[in-house]
Amino acid sequence: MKHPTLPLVATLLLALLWVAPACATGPALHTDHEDQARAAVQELLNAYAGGSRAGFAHLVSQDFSPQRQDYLNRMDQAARSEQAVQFEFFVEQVLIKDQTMTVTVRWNKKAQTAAGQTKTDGLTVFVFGAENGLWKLTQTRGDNPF
Amino acid sequence: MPTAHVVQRLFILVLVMLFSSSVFPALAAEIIFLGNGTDGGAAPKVTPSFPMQQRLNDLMDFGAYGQYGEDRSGMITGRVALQGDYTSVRGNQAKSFYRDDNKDHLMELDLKVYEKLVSDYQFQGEANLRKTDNQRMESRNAVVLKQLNLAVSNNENLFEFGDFYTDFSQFVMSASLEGANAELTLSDWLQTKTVVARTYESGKGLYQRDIYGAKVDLTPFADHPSVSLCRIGVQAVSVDDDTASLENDPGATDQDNNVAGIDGELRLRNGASLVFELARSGYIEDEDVVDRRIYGTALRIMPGYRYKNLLGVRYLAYRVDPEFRTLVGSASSDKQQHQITADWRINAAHTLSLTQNWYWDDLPNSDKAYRTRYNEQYLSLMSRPLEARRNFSLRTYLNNQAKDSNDEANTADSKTVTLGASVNDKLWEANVSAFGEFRHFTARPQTVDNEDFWRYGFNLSRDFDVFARRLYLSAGYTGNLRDNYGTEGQDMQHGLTFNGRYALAEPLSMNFGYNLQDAANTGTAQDYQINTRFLEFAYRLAEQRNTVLSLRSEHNDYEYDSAGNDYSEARYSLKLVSNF
Repeated sequence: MKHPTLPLVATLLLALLWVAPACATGPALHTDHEDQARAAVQELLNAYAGGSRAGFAHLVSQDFSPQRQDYLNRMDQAARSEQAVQFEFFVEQVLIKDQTMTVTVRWNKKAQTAAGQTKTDGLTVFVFGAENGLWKLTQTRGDNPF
Repeated sequence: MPTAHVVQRLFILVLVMLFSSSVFPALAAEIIFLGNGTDGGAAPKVTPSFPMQQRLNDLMDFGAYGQYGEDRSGMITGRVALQGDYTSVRGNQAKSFYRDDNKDHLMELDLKVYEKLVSDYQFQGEANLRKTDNQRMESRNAVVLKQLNLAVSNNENLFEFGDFYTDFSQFVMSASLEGANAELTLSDWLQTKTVVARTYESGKGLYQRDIYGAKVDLTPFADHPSVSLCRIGVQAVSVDDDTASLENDPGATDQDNNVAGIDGELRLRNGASLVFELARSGYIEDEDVVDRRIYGTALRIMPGYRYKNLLGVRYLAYRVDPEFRTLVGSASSDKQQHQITADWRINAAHTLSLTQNWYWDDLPNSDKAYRTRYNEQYLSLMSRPLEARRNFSLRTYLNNQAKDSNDEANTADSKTVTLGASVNDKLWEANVSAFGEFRHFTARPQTVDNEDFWRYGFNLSRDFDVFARRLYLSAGYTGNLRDNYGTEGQDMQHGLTFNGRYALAEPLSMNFGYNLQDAANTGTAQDYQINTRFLEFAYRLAEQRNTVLSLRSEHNDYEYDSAGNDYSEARYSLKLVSNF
């Protein structure tokens, strides 16, 4: 393990100084994009880990592309063979435009299967659409975490 | 390069140049107007002239955080996060996400810049930087630019550079890209989108993938008394891998894909609607190997009808040729589907949802050995039957999913029937929920997978007042029981969860949680018990900027009935987050 270098310490101090004058009025402006994105992805991954098709389907838009029922069937089939699923994920990118939020996520997954514990990882783009105040999954790209 | 290929490229490039040169109005991206935006079609206000000194002062005036009045010309805002982690792993370390005796740091900066420009235009820039030595997060221990977006826009037009998401139509393009994007409103009934971008840089056996695309949307009948929306779109996109972007990588394939299509949406005020899309694609899997382009067609039609709030019916017809390919769109090749969905509000207390879905593959020119057909019915009834208890709700559902094939051995045949119910209520100020589900799965001739499966559980949560401060507690249990016909054994899993939050003092709060996963499975050496728990203290240093310092500890124990697999993890993290 490397010890923190001088530039690193200096950067940390600078950053701390930067955020120190924390006094003003008004709400945060558009600083919650990553929180929204993280919450939407977390809810989806939790629903899969919970193993309930109905719970997962609630988070998938009726307009999911290309085929909603096919996607749910695949998710359901994968969930049958996995137990005690745990995800660790990192948000790489969040793009919000109109009623669409695109979240690129790097994830690691642990699950108990007939072959014992398995570990997989991947990079997935989740596309969410705003429906009645909720973010519903409308498309995925890249690796399939389910 | 084939002549047809050149003609398609030229056509798309002409479209790109045509729409790029139009400096007119569009469907603007999410833009923050500094007190100068308009809502509901009101006439846009013209930005007053700001002296350069004021512009600089406004930009750098971090003390005026949250003051976004019309008299402010611009600002810099964002969020910074600093985090340090220590992890320790004992036992079989190869099974853990973490490394033993490991220290990681993470610094993230999200920077946003807004500036009013001439007329009613505004500049918005956003950059996201990250530095970490966490190898699971970043392969490089350096400052990495994760996201950059620069946009000039008003309510109608958008010129965008950097990372952006664009949505032409389902079959043609809906993707995150990196490059340039222009969305213009040429008139009340004519909008255009133009994209020149790439999906990703080259590397790891992938050539850089270049994208050129254009879209025209017509929106006639805007004021028609019977029409609430009428839109017809024509779009084309060319996708080409850049072989010059990567040297000597035999694993990389030089793909080429052109997709063009027409889509539309018609919504009448009487509740009738129609959505459709027709697209045609040309695709070369690897231009270095073969020059033959394959062509395919995709079609989707979705008529619907909604009668007040009582009844909604929607039909979907979907057919995508096996040869249809879209690298930046979304389609399920070699598939035909027919789906009917209905929502019927029987009365104020009951709503019934029905879905009938058929789909199959092995369309003409498919390379599949046999056809697999799916026939599915989904029925769900949502009830709030008690007039005096509006918090009480009951949802029951029944799913029937049948799959069969036309191969001689019927290898894909199976049937799944699922019956379930969930109930929610509020009892003695506590939120209470419970659920149960039964699933019966049969397959033939491979009956070894046949099984019955039960899921059940409950959850309780409630707020308490403890020493005049809020204490929130929740507890839940989930049980799974799988009865396999082949092994004649039962797999059982139990999950137990406790979570809580207590406001210790005005700026200090505490979160804690415990989770148990226990399994007794019939398979050899498949039993396990997983205990995870965490405790977190969060201290709010400043309310307005949401400046929070948090300390979290997390312990996870994994125990198996097979030797040599047990391991345990401990993780401690200190994090500071603040808006500015």
